[in-house]
Amino acid sequence: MIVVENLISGLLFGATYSLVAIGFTLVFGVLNRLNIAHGATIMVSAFAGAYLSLRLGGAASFAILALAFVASVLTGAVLGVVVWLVAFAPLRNASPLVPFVTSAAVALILEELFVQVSRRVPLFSPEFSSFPSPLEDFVFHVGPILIRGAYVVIFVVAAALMALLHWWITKSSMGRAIRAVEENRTVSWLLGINVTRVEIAVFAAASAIAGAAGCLIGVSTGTVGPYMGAGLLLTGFVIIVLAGLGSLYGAMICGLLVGMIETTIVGMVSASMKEAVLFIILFAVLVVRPQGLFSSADAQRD
Amino acid sequence: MFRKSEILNTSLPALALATLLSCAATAALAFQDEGTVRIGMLESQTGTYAPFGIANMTGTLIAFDEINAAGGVTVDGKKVKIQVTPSPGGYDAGNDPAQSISLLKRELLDDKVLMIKGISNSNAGTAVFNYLAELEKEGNPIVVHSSSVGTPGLTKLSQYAFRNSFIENADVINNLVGAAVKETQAKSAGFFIIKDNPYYQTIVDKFIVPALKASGVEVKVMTDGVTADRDFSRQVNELRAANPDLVFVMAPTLGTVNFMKEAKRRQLKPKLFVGNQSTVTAEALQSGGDAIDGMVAPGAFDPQSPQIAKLAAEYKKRLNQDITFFVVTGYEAGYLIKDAIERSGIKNTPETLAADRKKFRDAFATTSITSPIGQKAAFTADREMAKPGVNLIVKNGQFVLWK
Repeated sequence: MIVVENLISGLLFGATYSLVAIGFTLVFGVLNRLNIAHGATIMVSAFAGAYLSLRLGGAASFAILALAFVASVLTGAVLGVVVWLVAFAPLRNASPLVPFVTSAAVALILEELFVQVSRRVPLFSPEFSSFPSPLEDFVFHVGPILIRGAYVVIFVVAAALMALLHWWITKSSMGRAIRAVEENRTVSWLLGINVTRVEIAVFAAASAIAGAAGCLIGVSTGTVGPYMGAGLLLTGFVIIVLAGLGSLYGAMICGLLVGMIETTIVGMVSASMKEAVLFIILFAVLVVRPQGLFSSADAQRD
Repeated sequence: MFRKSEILNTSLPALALATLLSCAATAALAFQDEGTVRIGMLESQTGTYAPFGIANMTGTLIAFDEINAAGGVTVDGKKVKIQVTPSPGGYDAGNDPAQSISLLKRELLDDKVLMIKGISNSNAGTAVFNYLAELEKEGNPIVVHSSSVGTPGLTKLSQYAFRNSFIENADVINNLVGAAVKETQAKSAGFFIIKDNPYYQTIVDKFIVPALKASGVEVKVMTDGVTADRDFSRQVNELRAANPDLVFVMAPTLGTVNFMKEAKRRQLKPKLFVGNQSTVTAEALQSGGDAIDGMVAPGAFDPQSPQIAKLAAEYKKRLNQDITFFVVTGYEAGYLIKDAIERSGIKNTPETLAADRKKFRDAFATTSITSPIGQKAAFTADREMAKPGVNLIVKNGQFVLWK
């Protein structure tokens, strides 16, 4: 029964991994570049939510939790545009490696900034800080299985966000523009699509989703810290490679899959084997399907 | 009109000479003549270890400020002030061991300090203490004293490596385990251990399990995790299934807090939860809330004592934060350094610096004082401190003394 419980917990919490990976994939799909500052965006957004929750006494109020969530999402969106302005926009014609390095530099600066913020803002603590929420002790039982209310809320919110994203990408005019730029940037430009506007929209959306992930992860653990994004970055990488670079729906599904694999390995084998087994699975998948699980073999980028 | 190259040709050597002369003049004025004794400082002020390094540094600076306000230290019959070089807080050692070594060289050769207070983590500590052994061979050693490195046996690397860190040694653990078993009449125990930090497993294997066996307590279950874990349901379930009387939580602060929250959600209720020194932090109280209420842990000091209350008030004034044991060990180090300077017989001049460093080392090794926090502080033969520690319990959001 513990295995079933682990699988359910993994599936529910894996939704946050899906959100992390979607942000990566969106940016990669449009710019063909990896945004290394994505993890730091998650962290900063989580701090924004935690600040509001601490300031307003969010331990017992769902309204404050909702407000904290909105604050995290907005912070993520704004920060995403700043990251684009600083680390990507001026380097459009540079080698793909250059924005990799500049966004990594932004990530390091943000991490160090929040080490100092944690020290200096009285509401926070130097090592890690609280993210109080009414979901902290909320649990319910399904027979012998215990499920955390926070995980269910995370799953529902993440699923709603993914549905919203699906609608935006497939039905809205901006979504069509994003898909066009993803397919062929030059032709899109020739057809009159404002590529810069698309880039800004993608960074804002991807980072808003990262902000949502940061808030949900902060709520699930009840804490935030300056380095919380660094670990998620690696998990995000694994998911997008597993799914196939640029595959949005693959990232959604593989996030859930990785969540389940992680908790099952921890439960059945050992916590210290978690990452090793995850990478073995990744290698095995890449040997059989080098393009990833959800990307077609003939997918090409210009 | 002068051409640019002519100006550079004539001006640059003159400027360089003037700079050299001014440096020489400064050097002659420094040390005893200037009324100061130079102490280097190398704590992590940025990066992962900044919470420990800044706490350490601030504790030591509070001690130095108190000492200077009382007139300073007596060197060669004259009162001189302790001057951290460079002021105000030395160099930032960051996270990188190589950076620590490079800054140590700067303190040693350029800043000409008597000794160095610092190194905030064991990785950098291992690199720096190994480098001290090389300096000894070259005949140019300097004391480095840390108030936070914790890895067992670290100071054995060099005769010039010292520390007054609080270490969970056999005495501290026997005291805690003995009290826990006596209080609960425990017959069984279970463990949650973070595996990717060898410190916790070492403490369990070397001290806790032998102490439990000596008390006739059976170890029923050991469950593990890693520092990056966010979910502890599996570990709590395993412990619930074994139902031990005592549960030892051997994890850093964040892991401990998250484990205890899961234990509360899943109604894991042993007779007693036992933490470790990482549990005794302000973060644990703030984030752990009532989930850690009733947990016991070994501490370096009694947080409610008047001496600590005074230090805590000063620390709060400076950084607007609650005190940690790193502040206390840093503060204690300041007074250990003062005592050794006054007993060492140094001359405190640029010419006697190498001999002074050796004299300071010999005096420091024999330090034995009652520190300002009311504890006896003396180095062992391996230049570390065997502190008795105290048993603490979390009660109403505070750490208080436990029987």
